[in-house]
Amino acid sequence: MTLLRHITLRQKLILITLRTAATALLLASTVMFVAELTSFGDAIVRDISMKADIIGNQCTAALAFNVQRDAEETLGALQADKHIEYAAVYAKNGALFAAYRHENNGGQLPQVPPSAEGYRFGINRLDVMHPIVLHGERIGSIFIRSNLQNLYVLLLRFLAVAGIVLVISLLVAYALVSRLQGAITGPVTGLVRLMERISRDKDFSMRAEITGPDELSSLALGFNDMLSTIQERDRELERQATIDSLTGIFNRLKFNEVFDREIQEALRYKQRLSLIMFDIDHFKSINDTYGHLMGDTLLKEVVRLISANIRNVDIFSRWGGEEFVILSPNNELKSAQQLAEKLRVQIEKHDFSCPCKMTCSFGLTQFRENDTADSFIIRADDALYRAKGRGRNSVETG
Amino acid sequence: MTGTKRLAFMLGWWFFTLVVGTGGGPDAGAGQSPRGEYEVKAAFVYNFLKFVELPPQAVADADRIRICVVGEIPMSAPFDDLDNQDLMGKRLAVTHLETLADARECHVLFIASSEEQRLPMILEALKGAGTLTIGDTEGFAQKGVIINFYLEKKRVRFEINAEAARRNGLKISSKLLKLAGAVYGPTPAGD
Repeated sequence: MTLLRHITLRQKLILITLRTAATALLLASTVMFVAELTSFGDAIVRDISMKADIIGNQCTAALAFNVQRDAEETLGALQADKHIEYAAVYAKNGALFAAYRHENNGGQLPQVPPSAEGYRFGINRLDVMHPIVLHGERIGSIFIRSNLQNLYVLLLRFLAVAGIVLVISLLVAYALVSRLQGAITGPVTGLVRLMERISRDKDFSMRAEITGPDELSSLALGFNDMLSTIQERDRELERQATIDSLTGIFNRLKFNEVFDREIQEALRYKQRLSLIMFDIDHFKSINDTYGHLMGDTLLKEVVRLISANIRNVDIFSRWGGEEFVILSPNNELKSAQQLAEKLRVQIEKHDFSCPCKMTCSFGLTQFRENDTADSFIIRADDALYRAKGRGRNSVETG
Repeated sequence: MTGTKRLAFMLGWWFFTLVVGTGGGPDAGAGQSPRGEYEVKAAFVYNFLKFVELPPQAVADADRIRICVVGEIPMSAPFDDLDNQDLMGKRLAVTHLETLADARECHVLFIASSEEQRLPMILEALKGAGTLTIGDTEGFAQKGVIINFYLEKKRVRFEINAEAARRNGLKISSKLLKLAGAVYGPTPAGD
């Protein structure tokens, strides 16, 4: 079965089916051939035996009255059967009494009569030896040798028919299996294509089609389950990689990605893009005084407050520690200033969990044509630094 | 003597003994065995009975098939040898007739050449008796004897008077008729 290793499933199915069909046909042909051969053998033995009995009976008087010529004439009637090569009548004592040889046959008669009565098959002949009986007394015997040309004709005809049947059957089987193999290879090929597409596009949202209750459908179901698991895990991984676990907003990694994209957009469509950077004033000393848990709580509260006061399109992200950025697409500097001022006031007025005073410092800037991501950030950072320098809880523009 | 020659000799000898050794008996067998004319004739008489159907009433209640010889035959021993032989389940009885008085009791009557003068008388005596008459003299068949022997190239042959057979209620097998050197009268159809 090494051949089967290097071909497709479709070819394997066809090959297996054809081989099975051919084997079954050959077996059936063999059985039929043996049956045919046996029935032919029986028929020819019956035929020759009957001829032997008839001719033998016709020779009784010739034997009794020692008239060889008459026996020869009687044997001559066997000429009607061209397959009888020769025939002979032997006297009771075994001596040759009369013989007949077909005109086309150059073979020699056996001088000594075959000892056993009955019939014997040779390679290409059937020998029949029958007693000649007159009124219950055996007065001699008759021997007939027939060739088996009919058998070979039959054999050739059988082989020809069997060959034709085999070829036709295999063609029909091929046609059938070519059409029916789709039932198996179709879903498998579908699964293979799907798998190829998924591994190329890394799109785990695709699903295999479930066709029925067979094993291939179970395979597809299992495959779909696996895809769902992968997809879920993928989402979780992405979430973990992009979301700040404490505050639930974008982390710096995700911000950088979005930041670059927004800069490209702004450049391409000549849109405005504002950037607000802010941090919590004196956060270190709050942490030191009230503990890190309080610090975390305050961070979450600040994020909740800010999130409630910005637009959906604004990208709010934790920059690090107590520092945050708001990227505000399609927003002019003035609006950004108003937004920052509004946020500053909101924070100042908000009743935080901390008994301490909570304020934030803001630095903001607008994207300029010759800006890079770094220069854009640095300008906002500088503005924030200046706001800190001016005594905090203020908004500075860069 | 080379191997093949010795083999051929042995085969020949074996074949010879086969032919000679198993010969004999009342049946004619193969013609290779050299036998006397009257031995052949006696064997033929025995075999005729297998191909001639005697009238049923003649054989039905007879416990023996009687073969009678009338007149002087050159060699009577072969005929005497038929006595007590078995034929189709019945025993043969061979009798040499002195007078014609018992002739009607015979199933088979062999009429020797010496009886040529008395032949019409003999046939007259057998009228309607259903006896198979067998002659051994030229012209007997034409005179009403059913089967008549003659010699052809030193071989024993026979002729048949089918008409005489019919008249005497005997049925002669077509196989036998076919072998006859001559057949007188209409041949009956079938066996």
